[in-house]
Amino acid sequence: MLRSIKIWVMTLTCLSLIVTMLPSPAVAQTNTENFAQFEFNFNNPGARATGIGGAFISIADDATAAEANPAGLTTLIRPEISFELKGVRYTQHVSNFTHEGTFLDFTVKDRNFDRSVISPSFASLVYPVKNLTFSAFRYELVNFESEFYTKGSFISTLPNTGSVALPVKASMDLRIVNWGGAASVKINEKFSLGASFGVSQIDANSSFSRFGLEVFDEATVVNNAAIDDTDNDLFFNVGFILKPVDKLSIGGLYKRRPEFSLGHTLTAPSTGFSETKDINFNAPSAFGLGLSYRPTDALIFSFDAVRVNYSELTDNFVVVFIPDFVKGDDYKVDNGMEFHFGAEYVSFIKSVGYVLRGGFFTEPDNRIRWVGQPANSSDPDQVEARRIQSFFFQEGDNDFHYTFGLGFILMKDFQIDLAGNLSRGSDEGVASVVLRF
Amino acid sequence: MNKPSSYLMALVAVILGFSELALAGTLWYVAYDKALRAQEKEAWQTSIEYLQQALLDKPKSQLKAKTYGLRFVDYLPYFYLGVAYSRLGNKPEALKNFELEEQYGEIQNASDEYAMLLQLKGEQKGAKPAVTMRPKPATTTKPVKAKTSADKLPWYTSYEIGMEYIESGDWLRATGYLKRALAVKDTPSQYARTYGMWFIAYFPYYNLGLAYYNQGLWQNAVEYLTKSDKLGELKAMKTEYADLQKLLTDSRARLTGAEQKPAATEDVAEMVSQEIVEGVQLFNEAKLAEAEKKFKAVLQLDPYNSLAKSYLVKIAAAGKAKSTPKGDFNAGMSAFSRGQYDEAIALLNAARSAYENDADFHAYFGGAYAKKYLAAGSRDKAVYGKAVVAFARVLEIDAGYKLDPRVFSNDVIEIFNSVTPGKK
Repeated sequence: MLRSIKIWVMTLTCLSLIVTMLPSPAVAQTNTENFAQFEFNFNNPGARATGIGGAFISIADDATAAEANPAGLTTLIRPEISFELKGVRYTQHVSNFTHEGTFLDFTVKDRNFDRSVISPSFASLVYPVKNLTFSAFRYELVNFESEFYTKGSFISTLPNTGSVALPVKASMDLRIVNWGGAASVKINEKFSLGASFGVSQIDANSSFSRFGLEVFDEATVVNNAAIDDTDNDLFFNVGFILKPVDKLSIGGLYKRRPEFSLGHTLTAPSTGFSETKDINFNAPSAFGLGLSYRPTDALIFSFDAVRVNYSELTDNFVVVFIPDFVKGDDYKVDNGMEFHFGAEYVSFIKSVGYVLRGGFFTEPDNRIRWVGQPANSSDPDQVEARRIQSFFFQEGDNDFHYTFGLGFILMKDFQIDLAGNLSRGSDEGVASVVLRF
Repeated sequence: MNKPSSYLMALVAVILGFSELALAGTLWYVAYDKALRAQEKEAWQTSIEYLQQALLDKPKSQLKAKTYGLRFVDYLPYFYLGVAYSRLGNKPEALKNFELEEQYGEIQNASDEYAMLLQLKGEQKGAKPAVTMRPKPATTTKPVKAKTSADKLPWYTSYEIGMEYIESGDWLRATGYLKRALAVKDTPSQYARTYGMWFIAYFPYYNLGLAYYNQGLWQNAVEYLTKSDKLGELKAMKTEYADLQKLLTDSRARLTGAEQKPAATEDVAEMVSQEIVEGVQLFNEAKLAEAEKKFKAVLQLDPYNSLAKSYLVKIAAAGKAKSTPKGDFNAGMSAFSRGQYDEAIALLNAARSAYENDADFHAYFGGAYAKKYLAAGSRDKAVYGKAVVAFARVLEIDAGYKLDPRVFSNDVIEIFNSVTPGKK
C-alpha cells in the first residue's frame, strides 16, 4: 500500500530542500528560500584589492579606500577617481532537479544553474584638502540574479515520510547599492582616522512558485512567495591606519551595514489564501584588523582578519511558513572569521609598471541552521514539520577563495587592474581603473 | 527598519572634532605656521600679517621653540618677514628685518635659512660693496627634523616640490624640500613608491648636490654628489650619470681652488662693486650672456661673493628654463613677482607658443609690459600697446577674466580694465 502523502509536507519539503541544496551562503532571514541563494559582496572594491585576496584594510591607499578603509584616504595627496566593472557567475546547484524510476525505486537527479551579472560595481572621487580628505562613492554591496526550476521529484532523504517535491520555478533580482561620502583626517604623520557614511538602497524582486504539474502556468500554481519592494537604510564605516614605521602599516575597520524591511507576500490561488508580512533583511556588520609589510617598494604582503557578525542575519527572524510549528529562535547562524592574505609585486619595463598579484581568503559557513528541539507534542503534523526543518536547515561548509591579478601603471597617473576570484559558489572577474589628477 | 541616526551624529561630531582640533588656535605658532604656508603659496602680504600676529605673542626668535606636545619649530619671524618684504620689493623693510634676525643670533645656527638670508640681504643691498661672508655649509649628518608645517608633508610631496624648485632654478628652496624628503626616506630609487600604485624617480642626493652646486656651496655639493655616486643613484641613466660625474669633478676642483684662493681684499672690493653694478644693469636689461660674464668675473675676484652667485643662479635658471615652456612660464612669473619685468617679458616670450590659449599666461605677459610702461619715465606708448594687446588676448580667451589684486597692482588692474570691452 502506498504511504499517504501529505500535501503540506510536500510543500515544506520542497521549500526546505531548495534552501539546503544551494552551495552559496544562505542568508535567508525568514524561513522562506527567497533570500537563500545570494552572496553578499564583502570584498573590498577594486581589482587591486581583489587580486591580493581582499587584504586591503591596512593598505587602503587609493580611491577605493572610501569603502575599504576611509582612514587610508589621507595618504592621497592629489585628487583621484576610480571605477570598477565586475562580472560574477553564480553557480546554483539544485540537488533534486528531477528523478528517474518509480516511487519505490528511484534516483534523484541534480542540475547546476549558472547566472552571470556584469555591472559597474564601484566608482569614487577623492579630493584632498590640507589635513582632510573627502570622497564620494557608489558601491554595489550586492548584485545578485538567479533563475532556476525543478521538474519535481521524490525525496529520498526522509525515510518513511513519502514526501514529494513539487515542480518549482524561481527567479530573483536583488541589488543593494551604497551611496556615500567619506572624510578622513591625519592626526599626525603616523595615525589617520576616517569614516564613510551614506544611504543604502535595496531593490528586491523575487518570485518562488510551486506547481501542481510540470506545467509552469498560472493554472497549475499551488502557492507563490513573492517580494517586489524597495527600502533604504543608513550605513557607516569607521577605520584607522597606523604606520609605526615606514614599511609597516596596521589598519582597523568597523562596518555597520544596513538593515532593511521588505514586504513578503505568500499566496495560494487554489484556496484564496493571501498574506503579506514585513520581513527583515539584515546585512551583517563586520570588524577587521589588517597588517601589511612592504620589504621593498616593489613588494607588499598583506593580511586581514575580519569578524563578520553573521548572527545578525537571524535578528528579528520572521517565520513565514508553518508559524504554528516553528519559531524564529529555532534558527541560528554563527559569527565567523574571514582570513585574507595577499601579495603584490611591481616591476618596471621602461616607464610602464607591471603588477602581479595573488592571494586567498576564507569564507566561513554562514548558512542558517536549525537549532530547535524535536517537537514536544503529540501532534503528528508538528512533529513532522520540525523534523523536516531540522533535516534541511543543516550547517554548510566553509568556502575558500583563490584570487589573482594583473596591473599596469601607465603614464604615471593612470592605473588599470584586472583580477579574478574563484571559489566553489561563484567566480568573479574584476576590472578597475584609477586616474590621478 | 532601524535607522541609527544617533550613531551617525556621534560619528560626524567626532570627525568634526578632530578637524577642529587640527585647525584651531590663534597662538604664535599657529600664526607662524599659517605665515609659512602663505609663503609657500607666495602670498607675501598674507604671510606678513600672520608673522606680525605671531610677533605680538612671541617677539623673540628662537630655534627649536616648543609649540604643543612634543612639537618644536625654528621660530625665525624676522627672517621670513624679510623674505616677504624682499619679494614685495620693499628693500628697507626687508633689510631691517634681516638685520633684526641676525641680531637675535639664532639664525646663524640654521644653515639653510642663514644662507638664504645672506643671499637675499646681498640682493637687497644691490650696488653696495659685495657681501663676502661665506655661508656655513649645511650639515648632512643630522637631517633637519620637523621644522615647519612643510615637514608634515610626506617625503614624496617634499621631493616633488623640491624638484619643481629645481626646475625653476630656485635652488635654495629646492634644498630645503629635498632635505626634508631625504630626512624621511634616505634610499634613492629609480622607481620609488609614493602611495597606491604611483612611483617616482627618487634621486635626492644627486638633486641636492645639483642644488648646492648651483648655490656655489662646493663642500655640500661634493658631499651629496659623492654619496649619489657611491650609491649608484644614476647608474642606470647614462646622461644623468655623465652629468653627475661632470658636476662632481667641477665641484671638487672649485672646492680645492676656493680653499687655496685668498678671500677678496679691500683693494679688489671696489672692482667687485663695479662689476656687480654693471652685471645687475645688464641682467635687468635681459642681456643675460653679458651679465653672466660680469658675475663670473666677480667670482674670479671674490669666489664667495653671494650676490654674484645668486645672479648666476638666476641666469642659469633663465637659460635652463628656456628648454621647457613650463620652466619659462614659472621663471617668468617668478621674475614678475620680484619686479624684474624685462626678465619676465623675455622668459614669458620664450614660453609663448605653448601658452597661446592660456589666459593666466597673457595676464602675466600684459602685466609685465604694463609695469614696465608704468615704471618708465617716458611712458613708452609701444610698451603700453603691448600690454593692451596681451590683456585683449586674455579677454578673448576668457571674457570674464579678472586680474588677481594679490598679484597685480591697482595701476595694472586699471589698465587691464580699460581694455575690458564693457568698460571702454
